[in-house]
Amino acid sequence: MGSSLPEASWNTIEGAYYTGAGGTWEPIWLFVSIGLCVVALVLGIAHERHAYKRIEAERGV
Amino acid sequence: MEAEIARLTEELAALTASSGVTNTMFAETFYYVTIPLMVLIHVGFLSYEMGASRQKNVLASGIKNILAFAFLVPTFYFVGWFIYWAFPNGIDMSVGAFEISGWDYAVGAANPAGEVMGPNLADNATGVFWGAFTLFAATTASIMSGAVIERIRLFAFIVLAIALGAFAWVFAAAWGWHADGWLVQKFGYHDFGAAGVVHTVAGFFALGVLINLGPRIGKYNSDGRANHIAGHSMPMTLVGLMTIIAGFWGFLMACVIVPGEAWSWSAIEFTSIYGTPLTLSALTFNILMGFGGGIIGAWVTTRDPFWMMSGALAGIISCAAGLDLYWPPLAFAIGFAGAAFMPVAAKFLEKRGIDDAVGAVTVHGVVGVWGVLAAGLFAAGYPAYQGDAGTVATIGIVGQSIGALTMIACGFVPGYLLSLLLKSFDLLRVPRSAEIAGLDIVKVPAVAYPESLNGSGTVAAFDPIDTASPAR
Repeated sequence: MGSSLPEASWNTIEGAYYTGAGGTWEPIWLFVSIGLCVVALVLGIAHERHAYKRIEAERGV
Repeated sequence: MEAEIARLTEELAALTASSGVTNTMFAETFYYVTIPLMVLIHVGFLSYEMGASRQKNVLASGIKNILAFAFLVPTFYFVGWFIYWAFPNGIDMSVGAFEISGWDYAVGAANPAGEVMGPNLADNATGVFWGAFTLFAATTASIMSGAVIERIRLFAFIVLAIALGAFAWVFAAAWGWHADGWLVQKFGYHDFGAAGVVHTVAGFFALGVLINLGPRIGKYNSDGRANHIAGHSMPMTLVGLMTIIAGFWGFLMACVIVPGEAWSWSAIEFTSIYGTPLTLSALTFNILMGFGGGIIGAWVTTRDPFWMMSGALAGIISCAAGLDLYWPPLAFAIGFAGAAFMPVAAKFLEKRGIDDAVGAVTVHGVVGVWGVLAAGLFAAGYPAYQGDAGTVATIGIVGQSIGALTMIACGFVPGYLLSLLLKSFDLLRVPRSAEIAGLDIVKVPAVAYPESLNGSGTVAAFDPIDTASPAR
C-alpha cells in the first residue's frame, strides 16, 4: 500500500491516485470492510441478547 | 492576418477548455451540494422518530435511525450501485437501449473493487453520483425505520434496512428510474422524483415488516379497539418533519442531470434522469405548490399538526412523479388530494391491526402509489425518454399502473418474506419484558433526559398504556 504514484511528484498523475491504485489491494480492503460490517453485526446481536436476558432475569416478565 | 487567425484560434481553444473545466466543476459541485442537503432528510427523520417515541425508547430509536444510515453507506458501495447499473434491462443483466446498463457497463462504472470507485483525477462524477444515490438508499431505510419503532430488534432492523436500501429499492430504480429501465422503455413509466421507486417501495416494505412484527404492547385493547400511543415530543416531531422537507430540495435536485458533460443528456439544458428536458424553475413551482397543497389538505381533514406536517411530505410525494411536467395549480390539487386522503388510509390500516407508529406506510407507500398514478392521469402523452416521435413510449395510466404494481411488489415481497424469516428464528421482536421496561434502560448506555422526573433510562413510573394487553 502507500503511495501509488510512480515517482514522488504529482506532475504526471491523470487517473486513479488512491493508496494502492493499480495493485491488488482493492479487493482485499473491500473484503476487510465487508468483514468489519459482519463483525459489527455479530457483536450487536450478542449485545442485544445479553441485554434482553438481563432484563428478563431482573423483571421476570 | 494568418498570425492573427492563429492567435484567435489559440484563444478560442483555451476558452473552450476553460469553459469545459468550469462546467465539470459546476456539475461536480452541483451533486456534491445535494448530499449535505439530503443529510437534512436524515436529521429530520432522526428528530421525527425520536419525538414520536416515548421517553423510555427515545435513544434506542435514535440509535436505530443512525445505524440505518451508517450501514447503508458501505453496503450501497459494496453492491447497491452495481445493481443499479447492471439490472435495468432485466435480471439477465443484458445491455439496454441506450447502452448504459448491463453486466459489462456495471463492471466499468460501478465495480466496488475497481479504480472508478475511488479517488481518480479522470473522474469527477462517479463519487458524487454514488453519494447522492447512497443518500436515496438511506432515505428508504429511514422511511421504514419510523414505522417499526419501540419493539423491533436492532439486528433485525439493520438486516431489513440493508435488504431495502442496498437491494430492493435499487432493483426498482434500475427498472423504473433509469433510461434503460424496462419499465421506462416498454411502458413509458415516468417517476421524476421517485414517488414509486423510493417512497412506494419503502412504504410497502415497511408494511410487509409490520405484518410480521405486530403492534406495540398497549396499542390495541383486548376488544380490538386501537389506542393512540403519543410520542414524547410533538415539537421534536414537527421540527423533524420540516427538516425532511428542507432535505427534499436536495433529493429532488439530485434527480436532475446537469448538461454539458460527456455523461449528460443535453449540452444546453437540465434533464430528468430519463433525458427529458426540465428547468429548476419548473421543479420549484411544483415542489412548493405540492408542499402547500399537502399541508392544507391535511389540515382540512385532521386539524392535527402531526398530520399537517406529514401532509407536507405527502403533498410533495403526490406530485413527485410529474414534478417536471405539472401545471403548478394542478400540483397543488394533486398534493391536496393525496394529503387529504392520507388519514383515511392510516385509519384503514390501524383498524386492520397494523401499528405504523409514524404513518410511514400511508405517507410514503399509499401516497407514493397515488403520485405514480397521478402522472398517468394528468401527464399522459408526454414522451417518457429521448427519441424521435413514434419510436418512444409515452406516459399513460396503463404504464404507470404497471409501474405502481411493480413498486409495491419490490417493497412488500422482500419486506414480508425477510421479516417472516427473522421472526421464525425469534430475531425480529424484542422480548416483552424489554418492551415494557423501555429499550433505553435495557440496552443504551446513556440517558436522554437525566434531569427529568420520568425520563429515558428510568422505567416509566406512570404508563397510561394498558400493558396487560397482548402483543399480536
